[in-house]
Amino acid sequence: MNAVGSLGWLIRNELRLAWRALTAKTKPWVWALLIVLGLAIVIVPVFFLAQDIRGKLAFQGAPPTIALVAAQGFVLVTFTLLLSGSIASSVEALFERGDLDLLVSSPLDSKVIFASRALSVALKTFLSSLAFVLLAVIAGLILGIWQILGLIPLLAAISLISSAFGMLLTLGLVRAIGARRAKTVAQVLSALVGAAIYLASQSFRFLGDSSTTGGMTGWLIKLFRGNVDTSGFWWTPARAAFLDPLSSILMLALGAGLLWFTTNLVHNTFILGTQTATMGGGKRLSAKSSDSSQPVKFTSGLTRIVMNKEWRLIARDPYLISQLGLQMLYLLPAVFVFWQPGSSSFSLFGSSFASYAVNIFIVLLGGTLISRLTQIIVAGEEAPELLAMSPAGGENLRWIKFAGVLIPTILLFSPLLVLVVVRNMHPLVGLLAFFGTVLSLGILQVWTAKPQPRADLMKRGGRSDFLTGLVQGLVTFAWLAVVLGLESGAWWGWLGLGVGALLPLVSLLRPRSSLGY
Amino acid sequence: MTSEIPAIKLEGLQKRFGSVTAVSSINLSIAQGQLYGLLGPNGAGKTTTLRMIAGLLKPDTGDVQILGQSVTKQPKLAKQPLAYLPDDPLLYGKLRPLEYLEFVAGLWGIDASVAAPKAVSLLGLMGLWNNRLELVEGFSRGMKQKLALAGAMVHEPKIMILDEPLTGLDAAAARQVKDLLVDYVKAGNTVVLTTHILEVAERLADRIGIIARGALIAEGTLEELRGKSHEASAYGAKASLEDVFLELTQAGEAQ
Repeated sequence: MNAVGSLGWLIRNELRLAWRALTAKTKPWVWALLIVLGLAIVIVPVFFLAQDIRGKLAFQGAPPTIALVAAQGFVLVTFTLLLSGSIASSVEALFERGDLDLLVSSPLDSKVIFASRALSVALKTFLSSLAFVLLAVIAGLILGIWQILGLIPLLAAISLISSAFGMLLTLGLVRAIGARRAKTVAQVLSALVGAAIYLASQSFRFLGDSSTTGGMTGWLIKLFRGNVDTSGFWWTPARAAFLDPLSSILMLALGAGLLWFTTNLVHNTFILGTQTATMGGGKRLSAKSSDSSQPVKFTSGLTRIVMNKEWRLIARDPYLISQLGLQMLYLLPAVFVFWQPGSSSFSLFGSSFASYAVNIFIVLLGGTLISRLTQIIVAGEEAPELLAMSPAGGENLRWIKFAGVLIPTILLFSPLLVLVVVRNMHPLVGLLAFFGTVLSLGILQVWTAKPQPRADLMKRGGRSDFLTGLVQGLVTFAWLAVVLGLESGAWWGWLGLGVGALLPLVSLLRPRSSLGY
Repeated sequence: MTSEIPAIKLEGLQKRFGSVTAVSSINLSIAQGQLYGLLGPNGAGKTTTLRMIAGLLKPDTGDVQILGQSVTKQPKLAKQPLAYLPDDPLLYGKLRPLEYLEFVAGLWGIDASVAAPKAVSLLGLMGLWNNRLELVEGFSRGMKQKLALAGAMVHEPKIMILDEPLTGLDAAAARQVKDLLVDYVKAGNTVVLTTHILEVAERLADRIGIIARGALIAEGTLEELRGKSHEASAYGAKASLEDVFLELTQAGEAQ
């Protein structure tokens, strides 16, 4: 048993809370079933399909260069993703947990409190990726590569390192710009760091930097000839992935040392940050700005007032904007498949790829944007009871809110719509598909969105039932079919038009979900 | 005559949540121009009753009438003269106080030329004028409570339903709000409030209703309530509302 108030006692409390959170919505047996299924999905095919190569990939002594390069890539991607996760966890540990006041006001040493939080962030970070790593480890063991067991201590080391950096970064922001802004900036940073590798890979691909591409190609040629020197210090993480004892110990020591250093360096800032966050710390007005002689003007009309409110709430939420922006960015490669240099030489349904590009672009991006924004504004209402008790009427307010999403979406896409009309070979199809998509998906959301806190909508990507998700997917495919089918003169383009237009109307027949207003 | 129409009339109001009866057949009429205190122990059904009056919960049986209009049958008409302030204020963190008041006034269809000076005056009255350019998310609990109260008053409702309106307020602000409510009632309006501070109800309320286990167990002026309590009768006119409340609710619990 750990002594009351000790680090172990606090960590045990953290673990208990984490377990309750994990099993609050999903029962332990469901988790067990998911794990068994996941293992079966990997083990069975690897076991049966890789009979021929079993043992051939095994090696003794130093791992082959290509394996070390792959491991180094794994370390880079994992570190970026875990750093993103640990910044998010640090924000939660520092600003969002309701029990910090209790701990900080207790006679416990602030260093012990911070260490327990830092370790819980590291543990959460480790567990978030363990399942995926375990699958890779099991697959490797089946193939006879027992050294791949090194991925587990390596993941632990990366979790410790990323947690230390995540905590340092978040608390550094608290010191530099104050607790309230630090929370927002850290959230945005977490999203950007998570997407960093992805964005870098896409920029190499689409910006067409010949020097970079050339450099990469040359390096890969050297790699396959075995001319890359992997004996240096920088290859320690890669060697640790294959259970090189010294490298594994070094990586774990580095992780533990960094977390220890972070704890000793910033535990006081941690307490200060917590208190500042709890106190609110709203910006005070100067004497000049509090001049009461300035006339106050209000807007008239329910529609304008509701729209103004919704636009203000979005414009003042940088985290929400960054998340929306990233969702748009993640869609870009799907569009660039059609838009890459040389794609015009390929044809699809009798037309070149390039001729579809802009229309597919506006359908995919317009659909995603309207769907997410409508869900946020309609389902993420912060004061549903205020609306419910007003005489304005919930139904009326839902449609005003939708108009408040539709107008900026159309304005945002207007340059592209002009491009569709001026440059595209099928402007009518493009405009029809864009307006059809945004109206269909918007109406679907207005009718089926389920109420939930706005912050949760961005964290978990929203909650919708299976049927609604299916219909949304079908509607998007239907409008893509309109683009491809009508432009190429295929009959199924008209089928797409019918499905895209009618499905949202059918959804209106379903009982409307209660939004609390 | 308008004044003869009760401000609020509850007829056989009942609400169940699963097997639990939250509110059981409440009949109550609250006249216009009164400050009515609704008291009861935790979980007695006060908030459920207030939420049904505000049209946020649909009663299983019975009806609520606001100035003669049924909340369930004519919700728009019934809600127009009504304001409800829940114990957890309904605010938007990313709005500024004046923007919030503009939004609330808009929901009740108040013209901008009327709403703007009213909002300015309310912010001044609540001591929030110097905070008008700050986002609400940075406000303290008390500041949020005051802003929510300003929101409840910005459309000049004839009836205010207030659930624990003094929560989070400091002594000066609490006094300010109490004075404001008294003036508001003197102007012919009606206030229904719940509070756990019995002294507040004793000093402010014209009539008091006591709810226990979802039922209205006693109702009347303080004098009338004293008459219904045996222990209080022993104390005579010296019996406080606390004495009356504890005896009546404990008797209710024992049953």
